[in-house]
Order: sequence, then structure tokens, then C-alpha cells
Amino acid sequence: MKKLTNTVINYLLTPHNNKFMAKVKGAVTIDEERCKGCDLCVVACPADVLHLQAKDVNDRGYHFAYMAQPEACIGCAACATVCPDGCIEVYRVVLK
Amino acid sequence: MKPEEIISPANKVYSRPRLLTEVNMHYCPGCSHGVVHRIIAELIDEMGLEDKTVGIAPVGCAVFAYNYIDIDWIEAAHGRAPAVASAVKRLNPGNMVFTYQGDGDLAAIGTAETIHAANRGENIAIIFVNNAIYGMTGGQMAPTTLEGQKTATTPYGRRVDLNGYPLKISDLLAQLDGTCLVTRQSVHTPVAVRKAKAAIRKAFENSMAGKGTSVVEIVGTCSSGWKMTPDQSNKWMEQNMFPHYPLGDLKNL
Repeated sequence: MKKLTNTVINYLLTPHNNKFMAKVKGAVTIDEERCKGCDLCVVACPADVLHLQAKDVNDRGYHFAYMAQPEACIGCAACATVCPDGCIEVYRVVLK
Repeated sequence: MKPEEIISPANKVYSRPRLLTEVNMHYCPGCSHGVVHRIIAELIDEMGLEDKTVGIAPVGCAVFAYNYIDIDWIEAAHGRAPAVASAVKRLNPGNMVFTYQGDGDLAAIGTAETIHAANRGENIAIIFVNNAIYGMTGGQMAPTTLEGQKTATTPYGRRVDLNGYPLKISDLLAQLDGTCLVTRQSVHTPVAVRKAKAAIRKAFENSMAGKGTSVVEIVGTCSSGWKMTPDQSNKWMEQNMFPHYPLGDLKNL
């Protein structure tokens, strides 16, 4: 029974079989000068989209966040909800 | 689909609150104050209270709150925010009056003002950010510091026999007849932020409806004072702060 359930779940979650859920694509903009590189958005992101810059810094010397994997973004706004400095704005489209 | 195609005003689902000013906040990276400021700015805008709100800023890390949210503010003396708020609300009953205080402000020097304002049932909202430490002055022990917690003034951890017990001031305030809402929230995850926002909305509504004093305690982090990264602070808070300061409504009439 468990095996059958897993098969069904895998079928539904595989992208090319996904006929049941509307596909959502998202994107975020980050105010790089306002960002303090606190890492909270990186931890909050469920799709591992955001990372901190490894070397680049902004004018105040912080490693600001950026979209490392933009194609994975689902526009859930979890990053913007936890951002202490309000640097993140979120955009979302539902693909038909 | 490229991000450039998605980023257009028509697809916007979350934007920076209009009332949050362009000034860069002086808070350390990852500070809970920033999130609470943003929630308050969003709520005042959503509730249409921009012209009716008077905020009372504390002494402590949030002393510059008046620079960050574009509403009317008064800066009170240390701990005296509830007293100032009482006067403002009594003179302008149509205004929404809230205080924004930390644990050193509300639970130490301002204990008397807080308890008596709540006991009089002043129609104000008290936003109380509890991070168990004096953040601004360099991480000294506060009344809310946990047993065994290391701070600048308790380098071997807080000792109950020497320093007393961590003060659960929200539980005290919940005992008073003048309070109508006493709740404890946090802002470390997206879900917690939404719950905290709902709690603060209720507190603002109570202030406008004249139901009594509302107290919203936000258990927050102080990554600089605790000497951790913001993410470690959140985990430490979940493991150590939440058992002593459990989240949820203590009183909701």
C-alpha cells in the first residue's frame, strides 16, 4: 500500500506528468544596497533559490542576497515575509 | 520564462510597505525588530490608520523607530512609553495609540508604568519585543534573561540565587482586569510572521474599539548580543526561549 502511494505521489510530482497543478513561476527583486546579508531569506526559501554573494559586497560591506537559481522560484514570498529590512519584492505568474 | 519577463507591476504579489521609509535601519543583520517594524507599517497602511496613528518610541534598540515608519511618533523617556500613550489616547480618543518597547524598557525600568497602564485599562496597544537581553548597551542581563544564559554581566550564566528568575511579565499582565488581549508571538518563520501580524491587527482594532489594553509580546532574537548568526539565533530561540516563553494567547477577550 505504501509503495502504491509513493508511486502515485511520484507520478503527480514529476514535472512532465504534472497535469493537475497549475504551474507557478516567480521572481524576486532584491534591494542590494539595503540588504545586510543576514541569510534569513536563504534559510526561509523552500526552493533554494536565494544565496548570498560569495565575494561581492554592497556599499556597506555586506554580502547581499541574489537569485542563484531563478528558474526554481515559485513566488511564495517566504523570503520577503522574513526579511528584516524589507529589501525583497516578489512577482508571480500562473502559467496556463 | 526569465525573471525579467515575470518582473512587472501586474505580477507583483509582495511589495515593500509604503509607510516604511527609505532610511536604512540601524539594526544588526537579522534583527527581529526589522520584521516587526515591517508588519506594523503594513498593518497601518492596510487598516487605513495612517493619519490616526500615534506611536510611542522607547529607549533601547528601537529608539529610532520614528525614523523608519512614516507616522506620528513621540519619543518617551526610558520605560515611560505606556504613561505617555495613556495621555495621548485620553486626549485624542479617536486616535490609534501604540507603544513599541523592548524587554529592558518594558520589563525593567518601566514595570510600574506598564502594569499601572494595563491595570487602568488604557485603550492602547503595547508591542513588546522580548529578546532576553539589553541589546543596545552591549548585551547585559535583562530581567527576561534565561537561567544559565551568558551575557556581558553574567559571563558564567544567569544564576537564580543571585539574579532571580526570568520575568514572565506577559503572564503578570494577563492577570489584570484592564487587559483585553495578551498574546505571545514570534517572527522567525513565515508562518510565525503571519500569526504575529494577525495578533497585532487585533491589538490595533482593540485600541480603536476601546476594549482595554492589548499586549503583544514578540519573542525575538538578538544575534549580536547572543553572539550567534541570525539563523543560529532562531534555532537557539526555538530550543531555549520557547520552553520558558511559550507562544500563544494568554488572554483574548
